[in-house]
Amino acid sequence: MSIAATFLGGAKSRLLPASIPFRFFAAAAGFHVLMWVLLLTGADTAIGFRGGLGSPLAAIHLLTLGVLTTTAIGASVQLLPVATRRTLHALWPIKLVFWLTVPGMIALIGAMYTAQTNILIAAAVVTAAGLLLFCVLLADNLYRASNLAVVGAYGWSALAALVLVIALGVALAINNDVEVLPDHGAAALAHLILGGFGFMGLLVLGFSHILVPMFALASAPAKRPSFVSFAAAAVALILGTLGALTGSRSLLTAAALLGLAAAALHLWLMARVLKTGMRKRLGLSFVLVRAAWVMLPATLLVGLAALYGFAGKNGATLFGFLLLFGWLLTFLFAILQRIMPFLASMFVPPPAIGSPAIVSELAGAISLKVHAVCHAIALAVFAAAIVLDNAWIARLGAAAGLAGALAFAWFTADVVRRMLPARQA
Amino acid sequence: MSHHHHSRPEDGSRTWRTADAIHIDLRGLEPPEPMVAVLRAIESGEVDSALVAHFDREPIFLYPELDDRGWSHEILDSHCGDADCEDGVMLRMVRWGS
Repeated sequence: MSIAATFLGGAKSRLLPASIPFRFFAAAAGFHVLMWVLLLTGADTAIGFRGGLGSPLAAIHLLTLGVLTTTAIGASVQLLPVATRRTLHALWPIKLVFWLTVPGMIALIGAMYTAQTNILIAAAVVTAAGLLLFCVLLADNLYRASNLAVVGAYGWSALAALVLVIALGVALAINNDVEVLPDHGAAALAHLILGGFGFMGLLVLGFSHILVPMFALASAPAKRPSFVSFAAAAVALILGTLGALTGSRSLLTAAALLGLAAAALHLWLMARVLKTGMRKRLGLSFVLVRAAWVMLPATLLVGLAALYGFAGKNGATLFGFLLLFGWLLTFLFAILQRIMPFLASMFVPPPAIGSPAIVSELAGAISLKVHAVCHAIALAVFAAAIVLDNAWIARLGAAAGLAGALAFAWFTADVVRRMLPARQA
Repeated sequence: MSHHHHSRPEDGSRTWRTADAIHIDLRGLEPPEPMVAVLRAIESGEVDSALVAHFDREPIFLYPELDDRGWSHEILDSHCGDADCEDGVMLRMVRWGS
């Protein structure tokens, strides 16, 4: 065995086989493309979407389940065992998570698109089973990571939110056939708040406490303000969920204001991390991270304005769009484009002396630049289309988004392609 | 190499020197502090030979940073002989060509 291979042997010791995280990332890249296709073909109904089965609901779930959740699963099963110093006991549970969630999501989203409630309920149950199994794996890992206090607090809360999102999601699916919920719209808004700000939002905020200092090469934010920010976010989430379920505008207002305070403190902590970091040139991924950071308070402000009727006819739609596409999707792609090359570097031999490391080489990929530009155009143009209630502008935005999604899928395929010869050797 | 060379000195200091390396004990620090401390050490220019870092967990995000800076790394077998550090990881880093 060469020296390089020996080094790699050590480095790989706690990593899962590459096929595990990358099957989730590849699925997410495919769902991302499909999502923009649906927004392109269903732009007229998407710009004023308020709920109900059909193309916009399918597009939203291609994003939330297909892209966000799938990527979160792939990244967390790969990274958490390293952070917690324990390898997963067996590979079959995470493979089973994949085979339950991804086909389940395809069936669920297909049923939303075609409004077939019988398939919808069965697919929701299969997807929920896969996600609950993931919850068990995540809980097992968080339990071992007791020394990661801030991340642990966010992680456990995100997990609790995910369980509630799943329960409400299944109830909403059933409610399309048999009325089990007193107010479908209220439950749908609570489902959105718990999924967007709760499960994904808290994961994003929590992982930022490790990932942002790690990329900027800085110390983690101070504990006390981090916990204050977490507590404010968690209470805001509870208030927001209760406000949605009870239809209380004052609770929703309190949630948005407290959420803004939590976001301000979080962003101040992150700005300090960047200021003290050893790495000042953070590259394209941090252009996206900064854009996502702007979107977080913007989402809450638009939500607040929509509550009082100041955000125009489609204010509620704009709120959902900024939350899911502006903040979460932008942040996710910023991190994913850093993590994927890094993971790939763990599975291919180190570069020869003097040649660029695979991480820096992939970080400069043209496909990432195309994706970032197209993503920015898509966000701005589609948001304008929602405000102006204009389907043709929305189609232009969705076309830009589709081009960006294809570029990111190309990047994902490129990363996978580079790992293939290493695996065969 | 004898076992006491891999142990932290009794005065509690986190860095110490052996015949062939500078050691730095980063156990007990929360991520990403251990990784940042290693990069500060190698960028300070004070490591003239090899740097052996003692981690709680494998510093996988450090590897590409080392590659970028022209440092190679290898995981050493644990010599501490203490059940508490069974999961600890020792990483030996040297500048390429040195």
